[in-house]
Amino acid sequence: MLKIESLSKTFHANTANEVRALQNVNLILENGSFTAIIGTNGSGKSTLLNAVAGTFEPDTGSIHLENHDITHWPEYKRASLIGRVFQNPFAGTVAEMTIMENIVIAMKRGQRRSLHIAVTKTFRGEVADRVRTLKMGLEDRLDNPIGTLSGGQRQALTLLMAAWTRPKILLLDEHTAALDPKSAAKVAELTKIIIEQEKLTALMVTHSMQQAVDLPDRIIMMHRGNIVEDYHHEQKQRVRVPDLMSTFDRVQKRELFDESVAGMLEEQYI
Amino acid sequence: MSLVIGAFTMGLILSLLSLGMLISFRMIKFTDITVDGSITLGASISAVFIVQGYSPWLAALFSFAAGSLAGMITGLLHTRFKIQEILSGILVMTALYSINLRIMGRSNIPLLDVKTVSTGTENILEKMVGGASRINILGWQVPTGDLAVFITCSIIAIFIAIILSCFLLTHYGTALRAAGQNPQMVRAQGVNNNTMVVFSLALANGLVALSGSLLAQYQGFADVQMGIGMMVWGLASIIIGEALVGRSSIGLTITGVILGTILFRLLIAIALRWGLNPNDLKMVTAFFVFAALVAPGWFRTLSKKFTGGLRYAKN
Amino acid sequence: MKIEYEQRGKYLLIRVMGRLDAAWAEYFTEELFLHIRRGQHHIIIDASGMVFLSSAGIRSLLRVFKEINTVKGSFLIVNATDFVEETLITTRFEMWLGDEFPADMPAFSSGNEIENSGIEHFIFNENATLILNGQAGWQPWQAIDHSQVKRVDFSQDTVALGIGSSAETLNEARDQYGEFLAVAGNVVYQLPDEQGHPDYLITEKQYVPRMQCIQLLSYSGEMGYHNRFAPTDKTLFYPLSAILKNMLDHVKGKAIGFVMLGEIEGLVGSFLSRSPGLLEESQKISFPEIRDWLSFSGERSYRHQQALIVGFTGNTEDLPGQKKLSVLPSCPEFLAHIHGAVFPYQPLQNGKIELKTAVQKFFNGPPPLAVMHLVDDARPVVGLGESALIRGACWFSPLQNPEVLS
Repeated sequence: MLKIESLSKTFHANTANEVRALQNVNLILENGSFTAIIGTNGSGKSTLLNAVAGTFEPDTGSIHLENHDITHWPEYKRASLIGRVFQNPFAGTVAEMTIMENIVIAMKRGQRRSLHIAVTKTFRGEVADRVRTLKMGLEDRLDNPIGTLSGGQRQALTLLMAAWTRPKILLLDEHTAALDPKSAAKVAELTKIIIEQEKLTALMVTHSMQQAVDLPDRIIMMHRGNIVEDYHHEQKQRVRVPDLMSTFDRVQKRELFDESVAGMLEEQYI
Repeated sequence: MSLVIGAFTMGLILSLLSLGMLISFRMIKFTDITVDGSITLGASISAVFIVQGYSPWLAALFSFAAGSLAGMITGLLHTRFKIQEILSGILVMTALYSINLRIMGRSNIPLLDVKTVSTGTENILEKMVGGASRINILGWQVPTGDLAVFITCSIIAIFIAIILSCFLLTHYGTALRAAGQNPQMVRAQGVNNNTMVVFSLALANGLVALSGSLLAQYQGFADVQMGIGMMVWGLASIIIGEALVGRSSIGLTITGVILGTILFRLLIAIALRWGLNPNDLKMVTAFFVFAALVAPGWFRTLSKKFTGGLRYAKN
Repeated sequence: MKIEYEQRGKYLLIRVMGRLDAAWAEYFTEELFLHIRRGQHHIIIDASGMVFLSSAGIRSLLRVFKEINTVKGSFLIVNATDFVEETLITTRFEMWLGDEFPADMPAFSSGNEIENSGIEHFIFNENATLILNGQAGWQPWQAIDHSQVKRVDFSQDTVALGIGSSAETLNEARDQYGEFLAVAGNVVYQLPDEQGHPDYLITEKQYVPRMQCIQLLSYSGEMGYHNRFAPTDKTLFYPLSAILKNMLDHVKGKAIGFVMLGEIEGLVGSFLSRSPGLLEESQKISFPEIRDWLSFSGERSYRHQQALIVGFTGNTEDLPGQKKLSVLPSCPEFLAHIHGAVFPYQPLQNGKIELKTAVQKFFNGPPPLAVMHLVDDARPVVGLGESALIRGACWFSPLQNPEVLS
């Protein structure tokens, strides 16, 4: 279970560029739930994800994952509990190293990295079996540098790597955004399959409302560093893309509803 | 022949420097200027200990440890105090100049008639050939002493190459290689990037200092100036090695670096023999590295122009 | 494919040259719909250059035909080539084929004018009046007094606007009060739901729509006057106040009740996003919490959709001391209270049309998109201005008893 309590973060505080990226955000993710965060640019959706991943320290608030208070854990330490897939397909793997070596690095996430030879025969079999589940024919290319693969293939592997050690939470940061439509669909499908099979708790930032409707079982909408909408359980089931659009619309209208509008309506809304 | 043996020996000794720089420059991608200082550090520490009668092996080990410490400090300056890579290296290198003078007590320590790491091998060789000062190899008369140094350095270089290859294939070594290529990825995989940088620099400068120790023993002196330009030599060797065998696997890369260093020393020996002024050596090396850095891109544009011209001709 | 247009009196002569197949059908339909929307309800297709007609082409013609049919226009294909004629006959659409142009079609182009440009005025009955017969007077933001809630049936003759709920009991209604309007036995109302989907009720057989109203202005009677308005070269659209002024001019400035149907240039309005039934006693609603209760369109919305608008308006001096109409800032001599419902676009027949039939068509079509209380946003600089319509119709009559509003 992930528990975020009154989390706030302001970037460039007290300057002209001050961004209140997170404003007192509270969020609880149940074990085994798959949640999407949507929101406009600068709404704080990626910031929230990065706060969990630990790329920065929040100003106030706390983050608990399972029984650990990870608020002040450095990024690499949190990795023992967290699996991540980035927007950039090149960010999650090392291009110059082979598929096998990349996976071996991921397999040891959260464990002590020993001075035993990493790529051994026994690992090979296991790795090939799991890579085969991607149905991309990559199991025959385990010794090829990962840089020779397409963006979609790399992202699929990153996803597999992120889920390998069954992390307490899987963080997906617009992980299909940089792919061509066909690869994006394939990776989206794999995401759903892997999360279901491994019964992972997942938090996904997405710009695609269709994806938010199709994949997860909960949708959170963010705006200006706040969670403004939370579609859960039954509401999630009935929500469709136009509903999300109109909610966006409503949120933005609320923004336009300022004091002068209130004054005008006081006269005319009778 | 003694020229060839000399170049080979020198190449083997400096291959430790190149291997160290392979770890810092290529694997962890850290432009580490400490090298110029730590190779002298290795030489001076070994010189002092050997002169005082310590075992040359023990002295070499001390050199390795001291070099590691220097590398570690550079790493910490960068990771802990957020000082730029190059500046961290410059700071440590500059400090090492004074430290080396302090260690030696003067700017130069001669190592004449002292025990070196090759003394043992030399004794064995002499016993084998019955005390002759020269050995006939394929018709050439080679001084026993030179051969002993060559054999000893070969053994050391091969031993270290094997150890290093194995290490880089372990879980820890794999993570280390990844850390240089994609820091974000390894952090996400639970690796402390900073630790990796510090560790890599310690290992790299340890090897560099070890190289300095052997160099001092081979040359017969330690000099506070001896480190100047060593970094560029190492870089040139790595570039030649990569050109020779490529980078397709760890074993090949390491072999390439060793071969590259030897080849580089051979080229220098030949150039000097042909009358290259030794004073110009560093400038020539610098020019070579410049060419090696720029040429690939230049060749690519050239070939593009050429094929472009062809296409035009076809139309 | 190439399409050429030529205006011949009320007819739009369209020469279609080339193949009308799947590749061109969508484009062809869109082009013709655009002209129908602009009031071209009599379309003659000269098919002498049409070399091929596929099933997709026939489907496209059928869609145009249906659209024309709903506005009682005419649709004819003349000079068809043998292939096209055969195709239409075998597919049983021979009724579209004509041997010659209609008799009343001029032989030469009559320029690009569309009939009924500007404002046309019709009178059904000069003496018709409306009687205000029901009202409930909730004012924002009082707590709801259950005894003041009015239960109203909306018959065919009633036109009404207000705030209410379709719930049966007062208890259920509590969290469902929202803006509504009622015309010709149909009610469309906004649920103060977060999602903001409006819903509607239609008179069917014995069933008469019924609402629990906390605010209500309702009248019955005959609509004696009828205006049609359409854009001209100079006037691209009509601001609401201009339409109101024109209507009031026809009845010599008395207070009127009106219904309007038309294509929207933009609506500016506000609607409840939380039911006033949930207001606590002596709760004070001001900025910013008002944003939880009221939602503002924030832009001139629903361009090119169709609006059904119901309201009351009159001169300021005729209606002293009333509480249910507010001053229109862009036309301060008028008071008004107007609700508008938005429906997906459907064409309106040209000329004089019947209120009930026209409105009925909208309620039988696709579901409404919004219901709101229209406002005139005259804030300096950032104001959105008032709602405006491009073309449409209005029906109105003077009020017999405007003093009831006071």
